[in-house]
Amino acid sequence: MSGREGEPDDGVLVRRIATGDEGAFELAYDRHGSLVFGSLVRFLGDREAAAEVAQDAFLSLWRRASSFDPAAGSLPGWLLSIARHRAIDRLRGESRRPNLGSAELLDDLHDDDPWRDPAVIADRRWADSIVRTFVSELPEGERRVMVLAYADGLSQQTIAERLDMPIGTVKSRTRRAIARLRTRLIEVPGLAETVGGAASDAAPAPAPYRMMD
Amino acid sequence: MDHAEAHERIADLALEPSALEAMLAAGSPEDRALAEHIAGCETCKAEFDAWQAVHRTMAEALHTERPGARVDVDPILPHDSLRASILAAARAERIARPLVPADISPVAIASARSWSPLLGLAAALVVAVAGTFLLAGPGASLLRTVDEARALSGVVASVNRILAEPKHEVAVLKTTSGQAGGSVAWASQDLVVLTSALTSPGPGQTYRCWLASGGTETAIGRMDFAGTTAYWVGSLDDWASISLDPGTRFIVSLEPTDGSATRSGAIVLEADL
Repeated sequence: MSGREGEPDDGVLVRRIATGDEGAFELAYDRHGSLVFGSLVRFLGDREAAAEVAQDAFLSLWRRASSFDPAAGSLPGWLLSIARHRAIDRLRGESRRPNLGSAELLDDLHDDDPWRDPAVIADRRWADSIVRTFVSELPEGERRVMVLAYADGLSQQTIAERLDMPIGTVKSRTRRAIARLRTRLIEVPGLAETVGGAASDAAPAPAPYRMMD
Repeated sequence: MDHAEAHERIADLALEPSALEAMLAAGSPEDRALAEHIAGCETCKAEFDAWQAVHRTMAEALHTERPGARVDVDPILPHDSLRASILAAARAERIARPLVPADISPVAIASARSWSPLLGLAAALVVAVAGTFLLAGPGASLLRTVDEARALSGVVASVNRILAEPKHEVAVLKTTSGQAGGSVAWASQDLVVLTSALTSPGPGQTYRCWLASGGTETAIGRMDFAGTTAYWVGSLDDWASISLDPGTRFIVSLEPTDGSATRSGAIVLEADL
């Protein structure tokens, strides 16, 4: 993710953090803290545990910023890789699957599910947690059309009728929302491998980080 | 259908989660024209596939099997206390690890009993850390001087951790002519690269580090400079983003600063790990 206008981009930020710049570290937290925390809460189902893991992830950035290479991946992707690893360690330590929290999230864990491997389930949960957090960061109007389109399976026309708004407004909100989401999905290795496509306005897809599970 | 029309049509179809799939199956003249264009245009095919991947990912993440079930996409914001806690912890670590490398001597001296090619460069680093302050002339940027000293202090701490472990490993970095030009040292947690064989890169260039294994090269970092010594510090601990497999080669190449995830520059140093 690039910095807002007048702010350094993530690559510059991390190089400053590597020199012990606390201001840069604060900015990195302000920029990515909600994504990391929100994803962890959704994955672990526990705000307190999520806060501990998020703290671990950011302190890892503070200690090891010099090992981050912006050309090899994005800062949020890196932070989320660390957070995922820490969160899974935590679940292993507690000998439990991801605490999926709501019954709604348990839908696809029925006995006849074709993939009941805990590792596969954890990967899927982690990906879903991140994507839902990305959606949660959209402006409310865009978030609503995304939910109606993907969760409820409604067409643009039906969404317009449901929300009593012009079809053009629904389309423009959808267009902005999916463009934003596509950019965010590219930032996280392994989330959707081919999302980068050939779009000239999208950032290059980062190389996947190798984790030592 | 020309390229611009195809691009525009794909962007329109991308608005509906099922429209891209439907296009492939539908028989309208417009759909057939787009399908024919995509079949012969790599750029549009990649764009089409990318939007399909976005839709697939979104549909999987937001799907609910029970009609009317609420999807958890409300913002979840951390409490301000988390921010304060993280910043306080970082500050406390700074205080615990002072700018001046106070933890250099005991471990380094103890490990010096077993000779390691890393020690010469490590000693040079120690001198560089101290010299950064002593040699900073009146025209030097104090901020830059302090930043450089902090970074070097971190390198020295990593070298100390490596040398303190009995099972640390050291590989010789060789230049293209086969001369020894530096070291790659690692133990259970840290990996440190030190070399005095590189000259400062020109404008728009940087030295990047790669791990080559099984026919794949992975970018892992960029060399920093302190005087005539270039260094890079990576992590191998349990959350690390890199791992060393048997037969892995460590490579340093000169690249454009805005280079991609694929190496394009010539190798200037390498070591078999």
